[in-house]
Amino acid sequence: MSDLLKKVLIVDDSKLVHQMYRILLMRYKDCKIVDAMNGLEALEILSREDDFDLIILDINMPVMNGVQFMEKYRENPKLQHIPVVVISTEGREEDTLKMLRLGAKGYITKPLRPEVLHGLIEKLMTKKAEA
Amino acid sequence: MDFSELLNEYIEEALSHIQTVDAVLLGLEREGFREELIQTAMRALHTLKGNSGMMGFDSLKEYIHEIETQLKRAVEQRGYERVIEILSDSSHVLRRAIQKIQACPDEPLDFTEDLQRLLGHRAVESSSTVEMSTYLGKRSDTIKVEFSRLDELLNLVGELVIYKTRLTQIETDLKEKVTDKYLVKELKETLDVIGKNISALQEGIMRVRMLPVRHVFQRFPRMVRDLSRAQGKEVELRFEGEETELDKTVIDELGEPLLHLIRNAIDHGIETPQERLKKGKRPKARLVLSAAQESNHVLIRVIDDGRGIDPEMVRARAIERGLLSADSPISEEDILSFIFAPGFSTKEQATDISGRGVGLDVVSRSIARLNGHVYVESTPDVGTTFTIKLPLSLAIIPALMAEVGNEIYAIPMNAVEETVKVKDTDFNYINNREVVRFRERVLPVVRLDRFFGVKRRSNGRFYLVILSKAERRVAVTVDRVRGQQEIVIKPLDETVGKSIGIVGASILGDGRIVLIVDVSTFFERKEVVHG
Repeated sequence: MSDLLKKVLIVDDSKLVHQMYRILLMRYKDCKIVDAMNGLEALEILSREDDFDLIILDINMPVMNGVQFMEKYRENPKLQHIPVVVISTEGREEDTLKMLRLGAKGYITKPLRPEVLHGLIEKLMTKKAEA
Repeated sequence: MDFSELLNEYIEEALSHIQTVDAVLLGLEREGFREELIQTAMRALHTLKGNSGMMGFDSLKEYIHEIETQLKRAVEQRGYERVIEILSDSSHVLRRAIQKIQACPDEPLDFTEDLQRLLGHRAVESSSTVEMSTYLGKRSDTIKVEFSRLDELLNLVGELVIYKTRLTQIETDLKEKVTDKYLVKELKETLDVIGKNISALQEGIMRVRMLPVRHVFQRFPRMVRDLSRAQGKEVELRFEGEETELDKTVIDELGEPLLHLIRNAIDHGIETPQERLKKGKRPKARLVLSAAQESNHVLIRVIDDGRGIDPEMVRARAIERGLLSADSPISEEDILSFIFAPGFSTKEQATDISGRGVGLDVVSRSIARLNGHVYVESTPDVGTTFTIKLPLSLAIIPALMAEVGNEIYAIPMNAVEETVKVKDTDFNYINNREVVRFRERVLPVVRLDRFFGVKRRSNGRFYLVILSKAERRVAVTVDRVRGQQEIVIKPLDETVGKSIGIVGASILGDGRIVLIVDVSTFFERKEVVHG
């Protein structure tokens, strides 16, 4: 369990999903969690505070979807230190490839298994510690 | 198939068997009734019978069978005179028959009179009608050599290759220390000549060890006939490229996997004539065994025009068996590869012929042992093609030498697609599994240092070695790539040899030992991310 995970931004248009991720994350480690309902809201939050350790991102959202968010994210050098993990039902190679190319560090296909999320966070945080 | 070549071999062998019978006759006349002598003759006759049957000389086969019956009876009754009579008469008849086959192999043989005489109905024929020269046999331009002797030779050449590399290295070192430029130059020139000779010697010995795949293919016509008949199917078996040559050690190991694939095709692929007619196909199915050389590989295919493999059925079964999760994104090509997974069989009811718990995973594993791999392509109702890709030889292979920490690993070139330099930041994760983006594809990553538990020299830069197996790709990380080299495979001792991921070892010019990576283990993961 990594101490480096202190603050997480969850970007998803479903309140229920927020609740679920919150439970899963808290089970992994006690950390501060901030919710955003779409990409635009997430960008607004990030413009105010950029001390997040992880962004969990959905793809299909109203106002600004995950792909559009990643396009903005990639252009902003101040955000590059925050790894993005996409969680989506779209699991074809072209879907994953598109998000990874836009700078996502991880991609998880639904249904989400807790051990997969925890394992991935562990690896990303280890990498951050090494860097 | 080159029948005449086969026929020559048969005739040569037949004459030597007849000579054995003659020798036994001589012995019996000199030493009296000795049962072990008669056994020798019986063995020769029995082999000749088998060979004759294989060549399609059925009447000859039956005639020899009758000789055997009569001989056995005579021995039981200890009828010494009768044994001599049978042997000497049949020796003449057989010699004449072989002579006839030699002259016109297509003409049917008739043993009616000989059989009657053998059964005691006619007088013994005099030997005057037999061409005397046939006693000498044919002069042969081939020799038989025990295979182990060739193995020894190849081993020696392998050592030579190793020491030649060492010499080249010494020459490089000398160049810096010795002032006599002329001497060094002469050493280099001599080395070049030795090198060329060693290569030629190596090639020559490899060629001697080669056999046409015909030797394996030939074992199957009968099996195909029997199997298809037992299942009420009509199958036409065809060979293509059967003169393609492979190392004998590979040929020896190829029979078993081919047998499974052919059985599988007849059991599961090929439909009954009625079914085929309904689909608008020819009632007689076609099964092709083909071989072809492609650079330093040989491709062997088993092609049928049967019902094909339904990818949906394979997917359902893979999920049912827990080999694949229901939501796993996987292409149709990749789906088919699951038929090689252990514990996978698409037929509910195993047939009495192929369903003895032997799945295609056995095929996949035995081909992997040969440093090759097998893959399948199929179109429903058009047919299925199994392709076995094999290296030309098992003994010396080109390999990519890769460094991980202080170790050197040899990766067989047949699996290597390319190598690229990457940064640590190029890696991503999909579902907890490390992947890398490469040429618009997402490939699963195997870190060789972690796989073998070796410490990396430093963090940061990597080389990625992209390996391929059929449609699948895997990216293997190594610290450095030292280039390509011919290596001599030394199989590992049983006690150390079982370690996962290693097929053997080799010794480099400087005496260092490298481990040869078993590439197929990287593809054995249950679930593929993409790649």
